[in-house]
Amino acid sequence: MKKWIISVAGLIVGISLLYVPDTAEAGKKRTFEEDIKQDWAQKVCSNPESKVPPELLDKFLEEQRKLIKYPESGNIYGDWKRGEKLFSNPKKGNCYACHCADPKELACGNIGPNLRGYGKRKKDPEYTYRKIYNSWAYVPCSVMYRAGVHGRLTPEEIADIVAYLHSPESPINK
Amino acid sequence: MVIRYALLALVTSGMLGISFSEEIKDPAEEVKKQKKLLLELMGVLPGDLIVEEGKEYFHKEGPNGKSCASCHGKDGKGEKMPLVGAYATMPKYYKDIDKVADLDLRIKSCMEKYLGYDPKKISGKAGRKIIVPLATYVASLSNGMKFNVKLDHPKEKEMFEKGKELWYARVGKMDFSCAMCHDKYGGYRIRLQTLAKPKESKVMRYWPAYRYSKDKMWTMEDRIRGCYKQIRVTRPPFYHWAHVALQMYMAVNSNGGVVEVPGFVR
Repeated sequence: MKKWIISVAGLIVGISLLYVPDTAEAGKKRTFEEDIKQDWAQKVCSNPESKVPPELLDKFLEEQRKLIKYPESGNIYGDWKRGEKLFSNPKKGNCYACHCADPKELACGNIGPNLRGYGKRKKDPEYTYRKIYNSWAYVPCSVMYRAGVHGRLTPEEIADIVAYLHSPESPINK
Repeated sequence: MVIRYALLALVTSGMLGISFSEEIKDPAEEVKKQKKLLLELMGVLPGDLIVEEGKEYFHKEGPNGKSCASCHGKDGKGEKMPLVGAYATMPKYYKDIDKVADLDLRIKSCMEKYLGYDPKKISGKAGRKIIVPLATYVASLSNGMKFNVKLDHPKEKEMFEKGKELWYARVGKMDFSCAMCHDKYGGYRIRLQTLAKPKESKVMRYWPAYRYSKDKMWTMEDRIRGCYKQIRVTRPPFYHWAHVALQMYMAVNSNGGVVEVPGFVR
């Protein structure tokens, strides 16, 4: 009898756990006002030309470079199969919104360059890592969002995407 | 957790299924095709039905026995406060509420102030059910007229400046602004969806619009909320100043455009 009660209770607890909201959703709701607060770089980029004034350029680039962090392991070349999922997941990289890459994915945007064959372009994987982490360290005010800076992707996740872009096994490079 | 991921996978695979079969189409041609299709299917465009619905609300008495027509005349053609041509000058400063208002806010204010609606009861979804058709109807009373928004009042100028600031402001975790997608990359595609060029198309002239992809009539407030959601910024609530500001900026850029409401968009 006791066992029966415990297992039922366990089942109830288990089911209720399924409905626990993600930590990002929990807690106080964010407001529009909070969300439109800008960091210094966003302010600098908020002009019709979306350009950094020349006198601020050095400071801007230096600050953006300083924001880039690496995985604790130091390895910036992760698992391409994990990277493939992160690349396409709309809640993670969402890279297809702007880039084409795997020729099998037809629903791809054209705001960013086509990444098909990226691995054959002899780019340094560390450059790829840094560019994804913080595009503004290379192209100030670029439309490409700063995935690492905003924590949308962790350093490890960015490393996985780097592998997806560079690996000869990746469908992008086949 | 398992169930949630399974569901997510199911939804995602469904989306992929659609995306494989989709091709890149000329967006303008696609809109025309959909409009023709709906017209053949229903014999009338859904947007025109919403105008009719709005017209009914316009002449229907509110809780205190008054209707919009009590002040603005039958079909908005009253001698004192006619609404013919009104939309082509909005957003605008209104002395009675001491605010610059867009269609949505102006209508909601009238309902509360003159028709006796309880603000609490119309601030949410129930209010949208009346305000959206009313906005569509009132805007349609300016059909054929040229957009002509002026910045005479200091509060109108201030609203325009705020709107311009918001238009260019890079915000949120995606670092987007209205301008990045709709000026600089207008005409490019996010996945298969072509980004609109609202300034070039003088966007305010054809909103409120019927969205066939959602089978819903949207006012520009709905559209702005949709945009902020897509760039992962908490949406401003309905009737928030940000809606008025952005519409003021877009309306000035729409000046000279001929009003054609309800619009028909994807």
